Amino acid sequence: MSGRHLAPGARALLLRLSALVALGGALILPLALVLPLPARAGARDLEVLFVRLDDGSDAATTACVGAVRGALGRAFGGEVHLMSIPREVLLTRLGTTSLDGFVGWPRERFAGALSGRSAAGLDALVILECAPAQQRLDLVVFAGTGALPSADAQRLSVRHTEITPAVARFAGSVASVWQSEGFSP
Amino acid sequence: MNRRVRPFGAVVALLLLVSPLACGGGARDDAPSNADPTEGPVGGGEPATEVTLPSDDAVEQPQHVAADGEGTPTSAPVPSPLPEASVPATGPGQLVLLHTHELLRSEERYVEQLLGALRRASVTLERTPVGDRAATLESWLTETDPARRAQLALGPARGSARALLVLRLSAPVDRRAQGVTAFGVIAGEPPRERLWAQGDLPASSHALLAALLGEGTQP
Repeated sequence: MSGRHLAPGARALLLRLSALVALGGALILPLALVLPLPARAGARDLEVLFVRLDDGSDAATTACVGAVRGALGRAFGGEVHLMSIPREVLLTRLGTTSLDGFVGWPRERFAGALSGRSAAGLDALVILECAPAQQRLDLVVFAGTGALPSADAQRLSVRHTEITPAVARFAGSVASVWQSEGFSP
Repeated sequence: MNRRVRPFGAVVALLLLVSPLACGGGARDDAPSNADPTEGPVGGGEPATEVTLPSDDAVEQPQHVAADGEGTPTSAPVPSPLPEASVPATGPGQLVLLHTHELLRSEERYVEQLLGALRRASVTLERTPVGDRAATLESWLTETDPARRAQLALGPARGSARALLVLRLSAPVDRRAQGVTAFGVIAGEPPRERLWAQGDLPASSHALLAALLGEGTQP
């Protein structure tokens, strides 16, 4: 159907729509140029390895883990490449059978996860144990200048406290900044 | 003529309103320093690329594989705190700073911003001198073992404050401020460690800290 066969009303409508699209483009283009965009030239992603220590069977725990993990991907100014490994893999790398009290471990006990092939290219390692049923949350973040082999531990524990969504968001918010400690894109 | 212009004008106004949203990809609200984290949804959208690595590297070092294959996550049992004389916690919440240097202007500003963010989140803390509590609180923040921390008598350090927020500000190194290097919250009845951390307390987390200082979360 050509424009010649359009009713006068439809033609007017078509003309208005065209004018609107043109005007919208004219308005949006300058705004898009003015508004800040993330710097991309030469930038690289923050490479983060995330390990949750629960088995994923508890809904409240999963919600807590989701809140923390969501914050890890969200709050950093650039892009975060968030990878996960199962708890068993971390146990293997650390050469241990238990992670009891991991939040208080000295750095040396994490050596197996902070060096070698498995740590190559990583900027941060985040280990999280949410235990809402025990009113407990433990978090260790390794990050720092020079990436994982020279990373320092930053530790956070919540005890005797209901692990509400707000508490989980707090932990995630802190961890999201800790993970980019010393990071240079 | 008027009939043609009026709807057209309304649509243009609508466009002007929505255009910042349409092209606001660069003005993301995830900037750590400006975002109001209390507004964010729990476990909301994740712009991050997420990859679950295959677990096949679990067989890289088979000699280290757990013999019992037990997969239940556990943590060291935390013993109950030692019995201690408890002071009724009826006073306002307190903020105590641990530092051995004269605070820099930036550190003073940081503290004021923290108090302001908490106030906006309906938690008012009184900045209080640490007094003779410094040694106890420093030991508490330095001790990494949760079980050992649980043995510390934190009641006298908490005093009559409903909640005690402790920040350790480390001395500058090479004229560079170190800022907060450890922090924690003691609250509840009996007074117990509620939050303990070794690391920075980012400004973007200040408002969310209210969740650990407010009445609603006390056990």
